[in-house]
Amino acid sequence: MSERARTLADSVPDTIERAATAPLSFDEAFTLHHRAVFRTARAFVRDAGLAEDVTQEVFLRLYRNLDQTPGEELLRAWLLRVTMNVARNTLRGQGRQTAREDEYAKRGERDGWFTAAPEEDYERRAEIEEARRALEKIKEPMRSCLLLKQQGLSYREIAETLSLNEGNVGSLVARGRKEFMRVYGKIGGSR
Amino acid sequence: MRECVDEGMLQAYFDGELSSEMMERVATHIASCQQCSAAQGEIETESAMLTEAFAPEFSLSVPTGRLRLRLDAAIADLEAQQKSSEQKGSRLRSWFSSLSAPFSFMPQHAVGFASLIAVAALGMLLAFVIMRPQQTTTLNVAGNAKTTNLPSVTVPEQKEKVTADNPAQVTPEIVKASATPRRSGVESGRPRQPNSGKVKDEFVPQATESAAMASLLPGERNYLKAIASLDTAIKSGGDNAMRPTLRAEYERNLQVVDEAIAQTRAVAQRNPNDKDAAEFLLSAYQSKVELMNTVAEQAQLSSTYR
Repeated sequence: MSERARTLADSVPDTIERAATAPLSFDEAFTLHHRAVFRTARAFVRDAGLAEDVTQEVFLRLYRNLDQTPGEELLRAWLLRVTMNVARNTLRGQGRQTAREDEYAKRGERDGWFTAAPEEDYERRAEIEEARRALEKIKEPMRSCLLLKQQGLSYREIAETLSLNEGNVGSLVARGRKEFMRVYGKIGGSR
Repeated sequence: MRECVDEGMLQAYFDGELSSEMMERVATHIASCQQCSAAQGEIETESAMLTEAFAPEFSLSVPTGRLRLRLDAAIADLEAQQKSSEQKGSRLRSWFSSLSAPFSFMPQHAVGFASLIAVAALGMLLAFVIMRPQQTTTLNVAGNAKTTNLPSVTVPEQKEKVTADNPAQVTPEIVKASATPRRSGVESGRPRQPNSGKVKDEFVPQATESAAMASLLPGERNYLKAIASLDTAIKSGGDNAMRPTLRAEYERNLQVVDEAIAQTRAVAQRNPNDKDAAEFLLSAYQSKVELMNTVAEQAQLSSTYR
């Protein structure tokens, strides 16, 4: 193998690695991750209107710090960590969750965001509320581990998001799951 | 793997988070261990229930379009704020540079700096000339008064006034005013107004002297006579006795003092029993005498050296 060929061969893995960790554009990041951010925010603040505020703030922070954020591989973890921080801060200054949730639901119905029939909508709302109440009873960081796992995050992403040791994530997910099922059963979920 | 697998590893096995080697070892163990197999089954069941429990939450629609609109608006605001802050920053920078510009010694600034320095130097010189001989001024006033026989002329008339108005008022005021002269704005600059006859106007002409003297306040007469003699002394040196700049400064200061005298005189006449008003008037006269005395001295000196 010539010197030039060896150099080219050596450079290939680096190029691939760089491509894997290359930063996404802002639009790509929004398209890929805004659902995860919004859902995580909504699960935390239990208010779709507030979740919108949180999502906006998270992506504004991404916009401001686009050159300092991690590559594609860990961008979702970064976004969700920011989401949780912003959501916690939002909740601290927020005492009117229920009222806002009702207002948002009314607005959503009026604007056609939700298309479910009224009775179906009611049932689904009850199920959502039960799952949220059960999730609320679980202590941190098991609660966040479980939520992020349900969002499809890998253990590495969960560890990155919550600043945990990756080796502990499996155990935390398992304990969170058991705790959730215990509380969820008591509340009356999975009827 | 003979020992049972803990719940964390079983969960990681179920979630596919173990390395391929560990996956194989755990799978082998589960196949041979009833307890771990049951635990694994429990994980599968509960995970399915968990997914089902969260399904309604995750099936809620995400307002993608609305989020995007809000975000675009927020980004537009952000960029507008950044632009305005950058503009403010550049304005601030240009302001600072405009401040620092005069201090960059460029040729076109040289003339400006030179004239500024000349004006400042002239001001300092005049201030020095005016303020230096304060002590001797009082003496010179006395000396000038002697040469014009002011005391011998004025003493009897003054005594009459003193006895008519207030016996203890006039003489101490003159002494006090001489001992602690007030500047009365002598050094303050005013727009130049050519008024060479101002001093002459201030001194009452002989024809109307008796009528004017009747309205004079106690002690005022002495100052008027001293001013008249000083004025004569200054004018006797001719126009060349003083440098033009000094003359201009003298006339300007004289005008300021005259205005002060006119104002304090009006107040003193309106309030004849006000001791402070009379004292202010005499103090203004004293300032004028000092100024004229200084200038007369300078004019005399310059004519001597010429």
